Amino acid sequence: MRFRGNNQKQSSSEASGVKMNRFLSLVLLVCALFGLSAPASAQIFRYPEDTRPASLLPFFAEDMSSVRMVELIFESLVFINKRGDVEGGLATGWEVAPDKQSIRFTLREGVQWHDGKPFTAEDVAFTVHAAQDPQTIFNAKGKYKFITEVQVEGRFSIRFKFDKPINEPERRFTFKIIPKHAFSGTAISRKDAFSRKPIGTGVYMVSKYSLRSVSLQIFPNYWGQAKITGILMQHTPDKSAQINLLQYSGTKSGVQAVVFVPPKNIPLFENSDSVVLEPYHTVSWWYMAYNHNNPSLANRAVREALAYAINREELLEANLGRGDVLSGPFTESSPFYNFEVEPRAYDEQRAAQILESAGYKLQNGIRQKGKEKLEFRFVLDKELASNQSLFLGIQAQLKKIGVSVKPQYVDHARYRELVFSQDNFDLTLNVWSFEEVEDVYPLFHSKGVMNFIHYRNAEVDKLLDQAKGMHDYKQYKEAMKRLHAMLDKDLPYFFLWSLDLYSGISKQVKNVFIQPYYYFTSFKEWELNP
Amino acid sequence: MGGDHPSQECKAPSTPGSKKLRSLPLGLYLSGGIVALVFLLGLIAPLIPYDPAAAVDYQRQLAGPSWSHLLGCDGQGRDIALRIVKGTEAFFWPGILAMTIAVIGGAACGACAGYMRGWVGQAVRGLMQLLDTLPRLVFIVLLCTILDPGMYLIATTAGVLFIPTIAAICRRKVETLASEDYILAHIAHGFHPAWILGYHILWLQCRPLLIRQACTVFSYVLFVETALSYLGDYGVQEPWPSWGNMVAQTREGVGFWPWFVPAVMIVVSIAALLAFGNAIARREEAMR
Amino acid sequence: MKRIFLALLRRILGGFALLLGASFIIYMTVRAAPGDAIDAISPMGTPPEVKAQLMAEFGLDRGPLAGYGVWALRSLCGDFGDSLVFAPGERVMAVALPAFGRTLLLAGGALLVCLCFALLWAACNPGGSRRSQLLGASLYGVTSAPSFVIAVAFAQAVNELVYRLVDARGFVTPSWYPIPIACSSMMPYLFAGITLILSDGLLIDLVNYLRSELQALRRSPFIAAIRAKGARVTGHLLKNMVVPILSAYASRLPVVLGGVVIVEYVFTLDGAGYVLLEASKNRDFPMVVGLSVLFTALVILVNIISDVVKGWLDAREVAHGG
Repeated sequence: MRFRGNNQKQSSSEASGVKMNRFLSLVLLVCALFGLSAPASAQIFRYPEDTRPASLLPFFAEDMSSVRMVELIFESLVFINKRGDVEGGLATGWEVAPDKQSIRFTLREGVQWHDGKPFTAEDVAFTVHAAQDPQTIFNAKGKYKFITEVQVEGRFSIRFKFDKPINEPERRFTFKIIPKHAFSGTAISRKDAFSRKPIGTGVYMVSKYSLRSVSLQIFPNYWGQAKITGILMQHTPDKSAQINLLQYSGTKSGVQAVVFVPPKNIPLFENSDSVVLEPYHTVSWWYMAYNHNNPSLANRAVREALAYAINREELLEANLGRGDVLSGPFTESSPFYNFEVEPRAYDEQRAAQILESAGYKLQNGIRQKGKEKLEFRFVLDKELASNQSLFLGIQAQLKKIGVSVKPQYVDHARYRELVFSQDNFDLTLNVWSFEEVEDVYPLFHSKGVMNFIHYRNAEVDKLLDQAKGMHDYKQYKEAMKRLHAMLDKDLPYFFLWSLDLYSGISKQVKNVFIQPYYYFTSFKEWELNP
Repeated sequence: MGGDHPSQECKAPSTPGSKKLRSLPLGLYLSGGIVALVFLLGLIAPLIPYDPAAAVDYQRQLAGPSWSHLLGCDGQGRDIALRIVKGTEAFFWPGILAMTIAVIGGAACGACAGYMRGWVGQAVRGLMQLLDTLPRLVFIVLLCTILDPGMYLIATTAGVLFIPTIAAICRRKVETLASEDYILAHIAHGFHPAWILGYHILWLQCRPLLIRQACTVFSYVLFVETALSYLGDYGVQEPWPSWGNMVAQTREGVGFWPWFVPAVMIVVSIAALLAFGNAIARREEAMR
Repeated sequence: MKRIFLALLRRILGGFALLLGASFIIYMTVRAAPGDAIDAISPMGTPPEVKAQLMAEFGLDRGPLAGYGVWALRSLCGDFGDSLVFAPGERVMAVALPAFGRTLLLAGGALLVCLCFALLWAACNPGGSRRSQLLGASLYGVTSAPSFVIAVAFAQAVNELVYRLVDARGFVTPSWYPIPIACSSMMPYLFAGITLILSDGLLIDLVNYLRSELQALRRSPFIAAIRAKGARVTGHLLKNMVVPILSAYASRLPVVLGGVVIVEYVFTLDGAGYVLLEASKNRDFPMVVGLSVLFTALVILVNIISDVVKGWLDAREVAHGG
């Protein structure tokens, strides 16, 4: 932007050819200052984000805004294309060994890093070594666990060995590759400057990293092609401001996309002639978690009663828009979803009956069994914007069966502490998002790292352990379907829904395809018409 | 500039306040009336039963004003008028608390700093300077993001942070009055210094200033409460109503009424509070 | 001269002590936070020894008192530490100073404009007349709205206006439209400045203050004497108003600086208020402490400067206040 303004000033001063008078230069200065002379270029794609990308170093890109941006800057060996097939990125080909215990990738030649250095197999090996270094601490470490050995077989050839036979192992190589020469060792710290000045092989390189916005420009030596020459991400925490930016975006202004349009704003764009609502299906589902260390909630009857008392359809419609009500830990688009298990229908009377027969009697509007009162602390993360209104609905519905819930809204850091590390909650509302593979082992196995609800069920453990060892995809699918039915019955969580999400995309943008998780995977093909 | 019109200039001192007295009451009564109304709402609000869980009714989402719901309903089908009234709870008692802390603390500290010459006075002056260097809203926002405090703690902090301002005013007054003849006469008569300070200086001389400052502190608490609740992460949390989190409903893109009414309430109350304090102070000054 | 120099030295030393005290309060507040930075960034199920390692890496393993001691010593040498979460690994001051500069420019500029306007208003409407009462009342109504209300309304109004006037007719759209778009022009800062001037009762506060000072001055015997001589009083009035104007500026600056936090949020500016909000949400201790100390240091500095200038203009101040 700033460049543009200066250029314009120079060219116009040359064109006039004479010494500019004071007035003209003043006007120009004012124009440059206010940016009037430089209308937003049509070739810059702008989009707002709810949160600031915390880190542009792929390992530490844990929030969604970082994930999206990293997708534009870095590349992986392979990626999953629109049709769901594996397509070569930095790798041009691969062979899986007959015993399915290793894979050999042939890498693309002539690829350059953004700083001009060549990309080789050493970089790939370095990425895996760095990820496996115990001193590199990040969330998705588990994704690299299956690799036991890396062999660099040539400048552009690399072999990976696995701990056990894996079906379609190439699907697991969608992690981003980082350059070896940018780091001094395999122990990578969060404080590394690379997270602000990333060097990738992707189509876009960071041209300006400021506090609130990140500008990307097209990498001239990229091996492939892209149509849009520049991208500007701006952190706009206020959702209504994002909607404003899209709504008022004229032909040359505003933003070209809003990643997530809240359901309440959808009518605004439904018949718009400048904005298209693009649906995209994330692999994510909402749940209400019960803390199984709470004696009342350890009682299955109570969990079931709560599940019957909550009217999910009504909550969805009033607060979130369209979505599917679920009965288990998978989305309906997942191969593991068991359609034979019907989601519980809302039934207030039945909920009251269940509590009644479990010995909980209504006293002063609250159900009690002896001294045990059905009063729960509902811990909510403020970062999830719809939590407040959702909670209101849930509170009202639970009140009808004599269960009282008290809200505790906390910020994200405190939420993690209360719910995930201190076990200091009774109920909570949250969303799990998955990349492609829905692995629920860590959620429900009694030894699972993400089993923050302290769920213990020997049968479930057994099934999960069995499934982990399965090599046959069909068998695994069946096991997951059985798990689905089991979890529906035992209710470790109350599985709520998966949402139909919509992005608002300006009609100037053509050829849009949104990848559910990484979002910008096919951005190379997007076009921006002025 | 006005200073160039001597004719106008001469009038003011020659008719000490007579004209002002006649023209003032309108503003005073108007602002006073609004302040009284806000205080009344604040007082009766706790008596009105309100169950946030029962108030939600998806059947009357965004219903317009009607006889049963005077100001209509919001995005959750909750009655806006009732929420406006209940919303006063969020700042009323915290505001009173902050006002008390700031005025009593400020007057005491100001009197100490102005009257005592020894190390106590020095210490009080130092403490006032220290408190004065903390930027108020920055510190409160800091406190909120870090400790997640309730409104009462926020109000206490606001009150404490206002002490230096009030103390400075009182101190100046004490210092100028301390050498006045009638105060010296009182001292010579053997009156207790606390009596002289408390009654003759603070009560008789600083009262209008204190009232004005009290109004400022109260309006500040109202501002902080609504602003924090508007930001959403701090302040009063849904389901409990606050004028600020009602305005924040703009963010959900809901209709016009649900946020317009509380916004008007905020602006009018703050304006009335400031104007009222000012009018009282000016009236007392004019009467003297 | 020597006396003035000594007084200045004392003032600076005093300011330094104040800064230490204030930074202690801020440091302790921040350290009292539940849910520290480590929990905000470490994945679920991180083993305790790894957490301990992270704690040490981020300098959180010391107790609060010892931690403050180390922090104070280091920052005396100009080392305010590294940011933890907001801009991982970046020097705190490398982020905080430019952001703070922008905020200062915004707040300081807005206050300056506001002060000039208030002075004009106070001079033209000395109070008393029906007309000035009405004007005063309208000023109350307009400017006592909280900044967030004004900011939201302002952004909406400007967007709508530009949309109607420019965009719909195919004229060149300014780069700052629609609000709040990130752009390299100064326009968002201008809007934020206007919002600051018109909100939070700042203007009315200044008008009241200046008006009463002006009135006191006009009634003073020395102006009466000048007037009796038949000379123009404007110059004298102005000269004598410098001290009250200065102290008004010094005392209101912290208030305006605070208000910036909210305005920056609405207009998507990247100033100190934004950094402070984001950093404290993420429990970025060094950043939060560094930035708050900057805020405090500025307040102290402005006070010292205003005292010095006052002393320079009015010798009594030095003798009296020291």
